[in-house]
Amino acid sequence: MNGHVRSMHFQQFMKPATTFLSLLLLMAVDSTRTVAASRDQGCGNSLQQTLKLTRLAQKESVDLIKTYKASQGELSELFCKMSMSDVPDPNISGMEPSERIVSMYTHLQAFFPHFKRVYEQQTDLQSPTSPLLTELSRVSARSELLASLINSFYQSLFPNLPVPEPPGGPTSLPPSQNIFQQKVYGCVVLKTYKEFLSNVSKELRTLKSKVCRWRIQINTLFY
Amino acid sequence: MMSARVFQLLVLACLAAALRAGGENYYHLMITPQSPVVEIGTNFTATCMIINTAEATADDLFWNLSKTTIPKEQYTKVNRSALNVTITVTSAGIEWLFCLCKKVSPYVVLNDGKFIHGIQLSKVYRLEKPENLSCIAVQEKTYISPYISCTWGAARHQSTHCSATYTLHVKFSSQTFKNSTCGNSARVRLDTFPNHMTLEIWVEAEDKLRTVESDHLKEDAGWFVKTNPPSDVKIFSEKSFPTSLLINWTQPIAKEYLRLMYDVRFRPTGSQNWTYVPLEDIAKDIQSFRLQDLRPYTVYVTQVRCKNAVEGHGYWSNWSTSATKRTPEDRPTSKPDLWMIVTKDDVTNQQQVQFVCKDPVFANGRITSFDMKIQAQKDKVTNESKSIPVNRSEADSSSSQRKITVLEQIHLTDRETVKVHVTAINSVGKSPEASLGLRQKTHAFAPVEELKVVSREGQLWLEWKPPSNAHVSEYVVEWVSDAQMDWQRENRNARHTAIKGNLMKFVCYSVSVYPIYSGWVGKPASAEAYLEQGAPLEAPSVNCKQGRNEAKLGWEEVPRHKSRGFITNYTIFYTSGTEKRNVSVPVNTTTYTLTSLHANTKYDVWIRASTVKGSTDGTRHSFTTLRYASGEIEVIVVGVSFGFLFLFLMIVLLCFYKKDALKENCWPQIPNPGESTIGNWSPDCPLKVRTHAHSVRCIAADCMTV
Repeated sequence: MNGHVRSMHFQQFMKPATTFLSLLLLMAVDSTRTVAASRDQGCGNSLQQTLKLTRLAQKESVDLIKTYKASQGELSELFCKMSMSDVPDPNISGMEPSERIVSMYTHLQAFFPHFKRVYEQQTDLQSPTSPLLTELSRVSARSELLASLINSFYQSLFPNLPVPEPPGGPTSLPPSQNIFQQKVYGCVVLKTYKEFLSNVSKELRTLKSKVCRWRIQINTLFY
Repeated sequence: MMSARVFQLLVLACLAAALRAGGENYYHLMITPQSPVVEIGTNFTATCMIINTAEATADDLFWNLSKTTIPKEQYTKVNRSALNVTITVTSAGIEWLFCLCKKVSPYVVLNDGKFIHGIQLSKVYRLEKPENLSCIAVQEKTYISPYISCTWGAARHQSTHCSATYTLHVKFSSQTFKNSTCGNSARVRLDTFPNHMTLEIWVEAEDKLRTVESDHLKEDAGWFVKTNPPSDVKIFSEKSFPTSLLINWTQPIAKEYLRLMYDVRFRPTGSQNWTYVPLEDIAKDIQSFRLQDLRPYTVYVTQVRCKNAVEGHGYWSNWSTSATKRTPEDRPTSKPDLWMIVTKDDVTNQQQVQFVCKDPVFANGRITSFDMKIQAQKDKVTNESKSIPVNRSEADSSSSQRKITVLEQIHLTDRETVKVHVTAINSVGKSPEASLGLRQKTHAFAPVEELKVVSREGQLWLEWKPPSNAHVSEYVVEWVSDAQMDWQRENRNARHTAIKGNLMKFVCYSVSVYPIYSGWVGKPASAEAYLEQGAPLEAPSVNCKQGRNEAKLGWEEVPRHKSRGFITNYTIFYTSGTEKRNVSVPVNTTTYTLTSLHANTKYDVWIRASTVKGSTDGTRHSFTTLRYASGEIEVIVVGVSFGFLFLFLMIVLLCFYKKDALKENCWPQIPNPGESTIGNWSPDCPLKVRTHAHSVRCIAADCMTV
């Protein structure tokens, strides 16, 4: 007998083992496929819902600016051409999608106290039945809903990441203002908000292709 | 069951301790629970405890429900000093449950006030789960109202006081809004309507015993929305598309709130039946739609409504205001309805044929003229063309009743054949050609057989059999009255039909069925009929020529326009005041002689005309019969005259032949007293009568010689 005969048991064992492992992997991937497919659909639906709400908020902000200008009397165009500090940044920051979604959420929330301030100021400047006050309430409420939706979307995409907390500390509201400054401030806030929403809308469209479709691509790699 | 029993014992123990601690020594009986709320249809168990006395035991206790003692079978002895009772709560209404003690000792008798306790049972019906929850949010101005209104079923009927409260919950994001009510509907006000978010809505019903929730309605916010209808609906016609209309509208709400789908319906004015465009033919999110396959020159009314474009979501809005437009004209696409009226000229004894026609069914516009070609053939063929202008109003063109136009009237001799071709012209073009031919000798064109005309269910129905061995291409049914003439066509296979025109009641129509043989008119079969008969408007007035025992009556037939039906008979009534008689005569009678009348008697006579539907009496005519018959007086006079004459002659003859006797008798000779002698008279002279030449005349006892 040849002493160099090697033991073939391992090789013999490997062949069925490999087959078995492949089978297991296939089953695992197949099971995740359904989950991933539904999650893709959920991703798409949730994002679509957020996008629709963003577009609605955008439209309402445009209408609100028109109403605002119409209710400020003469020189309203002038008010709205001026700029001011102490208003939230309309730009979205961050590199990763998760960071950008958090940025959208926090920036959106930064507008809430400003809406409240503008509403209080305009309550003094307008008659109680002014349509501006109604629209301001509606836009403010809509922004809160949008924030909630962005939060839900974030949690659905990144369930393991911490939930973005509302910005801590007092928001930087401008100091007490005279009537002229109030009028300017109101328009600047609304215009900035409109610009912000436009950025959010673009961002969501980008995210749609990046985040939701990425998942589909990952799944298709296996097939 | 065991846990309930344990619970009860614990309660008893606590209560007893509390009571002892409180030092309430007055009452010796205590029921638990106190002031219970019980559900109708369920069992309720109460416990009566004996406290602070040994004068009685549980065996001495009994229960009353209001005034009725509860049977012992429903008692359960807990221990020596406690007795349970279980009752079934059956009806609404306040009831008291009493625990009492039998009078087992003088102490009990003397202190019976301490040995009674009662509790009032508050009853409630079983609280049902609210079902069929449905909610709606309507549009307000340019956005959706922040109010959501919901209704549900299975609410408890609550008349004066609210025994169950229903709370409507609306939840979305992390916010919940609610509103409570006693009824089966509620409204919740949100900060703003949460478009594009998922809402969870439910109703919680609560009474003193339980709380029950409805199924949760979890849907996108658009599920609940009802918008305003589309506004500013306009409709346009285009001359190059006579069968099409373009509808435009403004969507009621911005698409950022809700994408909409639309529903379009239309109908011709005058019709009550709407035609609905299939929903799958209308794209979503549009603001215009083209209606096609319409009839030219027809006024259409259209309406639009909308709802959430997501299938199954939202409520249809109300229909928009109507938009009305007429489609453009197109050339006529059907033939004019050509027919003819044949009459006889009394002067020339020739047939007069009047060609008439109605506008084509599909005139597709206002007919301005008819072009007519007449081909007549007698000895040679003659052709004649003419154009007959017509003046139609819009109302005429729109009306379903087509006007009859008289085209031409010609005389037709015995051997003549005429064929007429007519086209109808409108502003766009001309119609297909209609033709009609008439041959005088129509022996080859046999009429229909067994024509019957009956009135049934408010219509005149005709039945006929086709001519045997004849190839009919169609039938024309014609109806003519004094004031009206019309016709309709029936296909070759028709054997019965109803007249479709507006017929009037009580008018006699002459109904004819003409078979048409490839454009040639055949012989008609005719019958007269009424759509509905009635009693005649008047009856004949009678004229009378009376005699002694008879009277000859005469009258004229009721004119057709007053008969209101086929006269079936006339009835003559006559009365002398004491008796009334009548006699029926056939309808074609116009004279009648009454006989057996009393002479010299006044009679009233009148005639009643009858149809199948009623009768009418004519005016009364009075006459008095003659005392003598005509000629009777003459006879009498003549007779009497002759009689007198005869008598006279007889007398004369008598006088002649018996003149002596007459003379003697009538003119006796009276002696001349101047020549007379006085006879011897003496009273003793007997009375003698002498018969000699000289007559003796005796007067009494006196005698004289003469």
